[in-house]
Parts: sequence; structure tokens; C-alpha cells
Amino acid sequence: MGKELDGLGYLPLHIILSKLSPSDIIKVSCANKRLRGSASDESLWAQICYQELQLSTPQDDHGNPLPCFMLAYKLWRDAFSMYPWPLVKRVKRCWDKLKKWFNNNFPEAEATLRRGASESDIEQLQTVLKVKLPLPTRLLYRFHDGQELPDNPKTASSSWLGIIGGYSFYNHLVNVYLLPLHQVVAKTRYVIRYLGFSSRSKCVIVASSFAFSRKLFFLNCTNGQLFVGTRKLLTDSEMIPCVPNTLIRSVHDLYCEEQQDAMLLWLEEHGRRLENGIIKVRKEGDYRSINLFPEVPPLCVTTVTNGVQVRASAVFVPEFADLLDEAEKFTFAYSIRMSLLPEGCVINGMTFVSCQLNRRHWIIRADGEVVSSVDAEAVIGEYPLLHPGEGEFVYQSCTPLPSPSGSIEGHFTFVPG
Amino acid sequence: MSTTVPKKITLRTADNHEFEVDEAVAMELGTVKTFFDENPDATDEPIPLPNVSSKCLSTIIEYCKFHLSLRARGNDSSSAEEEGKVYDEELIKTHDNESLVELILAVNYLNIKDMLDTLNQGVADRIKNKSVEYVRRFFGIENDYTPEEEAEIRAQYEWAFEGVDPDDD
Repeated sequence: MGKELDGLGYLPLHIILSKLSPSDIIKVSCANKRLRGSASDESLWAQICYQELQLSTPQDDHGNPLPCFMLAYKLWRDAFSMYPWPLVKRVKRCWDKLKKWFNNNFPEAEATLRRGASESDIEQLQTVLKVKLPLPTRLLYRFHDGQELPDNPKTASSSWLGIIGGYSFYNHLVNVYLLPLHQVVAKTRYVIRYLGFSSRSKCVIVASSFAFSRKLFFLNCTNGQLFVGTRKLLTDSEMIPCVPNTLIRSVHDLYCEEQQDAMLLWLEEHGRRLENGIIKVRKEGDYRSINLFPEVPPLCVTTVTNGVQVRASAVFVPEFADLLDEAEKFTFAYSIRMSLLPEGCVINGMTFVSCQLNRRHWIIRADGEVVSSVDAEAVIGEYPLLHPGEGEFVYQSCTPLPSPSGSIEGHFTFVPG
Repeated sequence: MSTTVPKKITLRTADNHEFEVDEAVAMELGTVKTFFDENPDATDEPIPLPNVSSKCLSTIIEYCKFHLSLRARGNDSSSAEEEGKVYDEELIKTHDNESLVELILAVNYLNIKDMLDTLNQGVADRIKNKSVEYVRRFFGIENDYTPEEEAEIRAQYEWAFEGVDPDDD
């Protein structure tokens, strides 16, 4: 049949190859030299690099440019040969999505992402902390070794560049960073040594807040679950899981179809929320940061009354939780955003160009039971004056609840004019 | 519907068989269509197809007739799409490796894009996950690497050689 192959010509061979996986193309190229020529076609590998790694120019995993796509693909495979390839592609997609969003919306934070950790960096952490990181987490660090942390967390604007973001209410300011491996080691050793935390728990600190208050995320390296510390973290090692246990599996299994650890699931979900505009960057004072209060329905509700628009959403505050406390087990923070629409305040056909908040009335329920009813003047001690078309007046507050689910409803009284 | 008798076109294969087909079917063959586009005054002489055997051409004509009739039923019909898929699968199944390659050469020469794509997919499916030796037998080609050269490629691309299916022939 050698005769037929010569007649097969460039075109059909190219189409056949374009329908094959990279492994099959390599096997075809290993069959003989003529086939190797066709299988080395640059457009073929450009397509593969784009499909599998979303590369539009040939580059290695550190972003260094390369002369061709076939070499780029090979170097990527070599660089991650110790990992299941589908997982490599998934972790890359996760980072790509996050970085694309940050690039468009919050480039200052993207600039803090560190270069990927090496295999030996990871091995060193594992030796020092006597843990074995779940595969997805290992890979996440191979792409980026966390964030470059602020030099002076008390003052610097860089204290607000955490890619996980946070919230603020009263004097509680939270902004969570993804830690670089050397900080994972330092902080994990610190809590083990000084806080009586057990090293047998195989938990390492992977993310933490940096300014003013403590919110710590622990990855359990044995089962791949991610935990966040509560108010009783330091005294009782109390933590809450971040991802449903049922979603997590095979965190150390090299050969299974789909490894799922909480760290990757958590970052993928974070990326989804950012991409869909569920959470956004907000400027508070002089600083911009990722704000975890939801911005769109159903997690954010909007009501307009006589031209006054009020938007409201809430977040769970795990670092204030106290699972053994009966009445104040869970704390929720809520964010209220009020503004006057461009047409002004309209009451019975009369238009007013401004209005001022006078009172608030809140009914707070836990599992349907009223736990608090507040009817009083002002919000956080202020009487905001609203003008049409001005930016929102935003304030945050919080409430403890005995149950993990609850609601807050109520109304504001404004005085027109 | 036109009431005039459809124009017929005669095609002559490499082994000197003549096939008389409706103009619409002949126009499915890109090479034939190009010939008529470039020679609008062509006579009724048979069109010679020196690279196509009568066995291949009858398969190709059947394929074109079938897919023309499916298209005549409209593109939105999902049952037509399903029937087309079943027909294509059956077409691949009834050809062994050698006759599949022969058919591809004919279809490539005649420039029938959809059919070529279907057949190429059939080839890709057959060499998917197979060993290098299977690929050589499939294309009927000799290994022109030295053992050292081949070993080097295999060492360089270790990931490509994991989990190969048995050759089954």
C-alpha cells in the first residue's frame, strides 16, 4: 500500500491528523519520516496548543516565548509529566479565567501573583511540614506560588490586593491573600508551635487576611478539604469546612479520572463569581479591593420606593462563628446600598431633588423566628443625604444568629427635600 | 419542480466503465463542477476520471445521491441528520483499511468535502490509541528510522505511548 500513501497527498493526511489527539499524532510521526514531516505541521500544533492550553503564541509554562507550537506543547507536557494531563489543563483554565478577570478589572492585584513554584519548592514544603499536598493544590502552586505579600500590612494600599477579597463592617476589615509556599510553611509552623495546633491534623494555612484581623484558611492535606477558622480557632482549633464533602475525591490518586480537592473547587467557584459579576471590585476610602458582598440577584435584592433605590446583600462571616454558642453561633454581615434615581424623589406627583434618611426598621429572623426587631434613628450613626444621580451611600453592619439560615427585612424612612 | 427531463452527465472511470448520472449528482463532485464552470460549452462527451476506479465511483455516487436526498428534505430535520450519520457509519464499517484509503484518494481527487471529512474521521478513529506498528500496517509504510532514532522519539515523547490499545489484527 506504499503506493497509496504517496498518492494520499498533503491535504487528506493533514485532515486525518487534525482529527487525532496529540499522543496519536506523535505515534503517527514515529511510524516513518515522511509521516513525521506531516505530523510536525505547525498549524496542527497551533490548533492543539490553543484547544488544550488556550495558547495563541508558542510559549512555555513560565510565559517564555518559543520558536514553534510543537516544541511548546512538548515542553508543557514535559514540565507537568508527573501529573494527570486533564488536571493540568483544568488548573490552567482556572488560573487563566482568574487572570483574565484580574487583568480587565483589577490589574494591581494580578501584578502580585508570583511565578509558579518548582517541584523542589513543593517537595521541600512537604518535607518540612510532613504533609503530602493534594494533586490539584500542587498544580495550582506550580502555576502561581501565591501572591507577593504587602511589606507593611498596617498601612500599605497593597493590603487590599488579596485575590480572594473580603469585606468590612465597623472596625472589622478583612482581605484574604493566597499565600506563597514559604509563607505557608512559616504560618503553619507558627500555629503548630505557638497555638498548640496539632501537626497530626495535616492542615496547612493556604490563605489568610493580612490587615487588622485574622481570617485563616487551612487545607487538610489528607482529605483535600479546605477549612476556615472560627472565633474559637486559636483556643479550640475550631474550623468550618468550605466545600461540600461530597464533591471532594481522589485527591492523591494519579490515575483516576477526576481529582477534586477543595482548593481547586474553591478557586474555580471564585473565578465563576468574578466572571459573572456576582462579586466585584469596590472602592472604599482610598483603596480598591474585591468585595464579597454579592452584587446581582438572587443574592442581592433591589427595591425602589418613590425614587429611592435600596440594594441589599449579606455574607457569612466565618471568623466570628462560635459553634458552641447557643445564641450567637453564626455571624452575618450585610451591605446596604442606597441611592436616589435620576428623576429624584417623587411623592404624590411632587418631585423633590433630595431626601435624607431618618429612621431604619429591621426585623431579623433565624429559621423563621424573629430574633431581633430594631426601630431607631439613623444607620451606623449617620443620616445620609441623597441627591439624584449621585453614587450610592453604602454601609455595612452585622448580626449574630443561632442558626445557619435566616433573613433580614425592613424599611427606611426618608424625609424629602 | 421542473418538468423538463434532468440533464445527464456521463463519467468514465480509470477501468473504462461509464456512469450516467443526473447533473445535480455530478455537481456534487467538486472536480466535475469545476470542469463545467471552466468549460460552459462542453459537449456531452464522457468526462474521464483517470484516478477513480468503478468500484469507488459507484460508492461515491450512492453517497452523493443519498446526501442530496437528505438535503432536499431540509436542513432543520433532525431525523435527516441522524439518518446521514447512520449512513456514514455504515459506509466506514463496510470498508476495510485498504479500501478505505483507496476511497479517500478518489474522494480527495474528486474534491467532495463532506465525504472526505467523513472518511478521514473514519481513518482517525481506526488509528486512535493504536500502536506505531499498527499505524505502519494501516498506511502500508516501511519504518525508515534507525532503531536508535526511533528509540529517541519514544523517549522524548514518553507521554504519547501510555495506554495504547491492543492492535486486534
